[in-house]
Amino acid sequence: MEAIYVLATTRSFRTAQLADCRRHGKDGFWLTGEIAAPRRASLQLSWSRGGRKRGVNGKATSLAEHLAVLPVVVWTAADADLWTGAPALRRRQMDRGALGLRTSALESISRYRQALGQKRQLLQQRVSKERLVAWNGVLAAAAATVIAARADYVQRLRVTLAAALETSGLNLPPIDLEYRPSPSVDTQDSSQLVGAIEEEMARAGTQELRRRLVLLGPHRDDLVVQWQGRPLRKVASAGERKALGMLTAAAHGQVLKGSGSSPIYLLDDADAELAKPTLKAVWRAFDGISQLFASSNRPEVWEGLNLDRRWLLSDGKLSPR
Amino acid sequence: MIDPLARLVGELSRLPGIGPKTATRLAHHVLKAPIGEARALAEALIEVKEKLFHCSTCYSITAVDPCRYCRDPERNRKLLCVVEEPFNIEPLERTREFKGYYHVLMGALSPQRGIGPDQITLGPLLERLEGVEEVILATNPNVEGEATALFLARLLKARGLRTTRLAFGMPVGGDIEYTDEVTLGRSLAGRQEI
Repeated sequence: MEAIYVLATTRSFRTAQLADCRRHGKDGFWLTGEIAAPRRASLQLSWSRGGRKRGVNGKATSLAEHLAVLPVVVWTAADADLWTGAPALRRRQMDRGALGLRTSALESISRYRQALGQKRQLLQQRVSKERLVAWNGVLAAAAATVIAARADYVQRLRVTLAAALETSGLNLPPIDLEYRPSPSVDTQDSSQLVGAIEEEMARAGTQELRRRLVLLGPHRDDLVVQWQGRPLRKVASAGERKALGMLTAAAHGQVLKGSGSSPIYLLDDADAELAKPTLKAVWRAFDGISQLFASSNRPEVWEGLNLDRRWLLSDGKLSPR
Repeated sequence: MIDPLARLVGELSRLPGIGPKTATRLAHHVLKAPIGEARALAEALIEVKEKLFHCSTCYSITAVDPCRYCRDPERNRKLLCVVEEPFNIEPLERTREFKGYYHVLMGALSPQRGIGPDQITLGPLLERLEGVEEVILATNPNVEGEATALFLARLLKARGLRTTRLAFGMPVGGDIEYTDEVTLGRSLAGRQEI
């Protein structure tokens, strides 16, 4: 599953360094995959000390083009904390969604990060407020596209997550997703977004210079989930959080499907220590999807669930069950 | 004594965009070439350093001060085009569309690389604005170039100058189907009435 994910995204869901993905004692690795749908293509990715090389149909391409070939939806044990952990997890989720909807979001996110790095460095120097203005302009333009892309994704996720909850039949109250952009601006009014963000950034200038921190921008966005007006992190049990995490993966996939892509689902350690009835309910939300791989170290909880094939991984070898 | 081949590889590796592998390949190419070719390369390198310098007015590369652009009386004194590097001038000249004067900033603002307004030729730019009516900001469309353009635009507009920026859009002869979304989006934003 990690190999599929690395091939599709050029990153690992387990480690920040691709060097950690190679076999013990090896200098590098090479991956290739044949994609049958939505369009026939082959993907390649290799890593060695010289760096990573990616290719589509044997030719070097941009990262955005590479990402568009094989959309993936991943769920790992770390995603169980999606709704209750640090905001950075939810920002990553929103960026995965924004990228899944439009790979051009990659350029906006990357541009925003570059501008943010420059402004952070500028704040470390003792500069006048006027020196911030130009960087605020660049930052606001990039922030506006990131915020608009995240808002669009959250709006779609709200609908698909509600449907996934209903399909599961789990006895959970309806949840409410609220995207909280930084600065707090009206995301519906796209024509005024850049100006509104720049204005808020100008207002925060004095405080930013004093604290030497960039206080406003999508790097401080959050996505808040509430259950009947109460924050989920305060009221959900561990099992409910895990179930909701997996349902979010199903809903995320539906968002991508709704935009015309056909993602592969990768669920690592998929039972997530859920009780069998809960797992069965969550599993319903994944019904009807094109391709899904799930791993588990509790084979007994999968008995009776709708699965095409099962394999046993033992001593590094897969065998049919 | 240092191995001459290792020395050449080392020197070539210091050039921008040249890694150890490329440096080794280039060094072996020089080794195989006739002595005349190697000497011509060495002389060209020395000549560039001895005979060329920056124009004292616009900071382009020249062998004569002021440079051929600044000496040209046929150019429009009301138009000034600001670029980041001397090598940005030649592509603009090839268009034959611009008949004004140039100013090279010798870089773009980048706090991460320690480049602020004092590290670019901002002072000399502000000193040569007499008679200028329009300043075209032709900095690169990346984060540093955009910030530099915005920074200059504020200063120049405060002096009552018309300040413009190069347009972004689809390449001539391009195909909408194969144009990336970002470029197409900017083309739409900068659309013109016909």
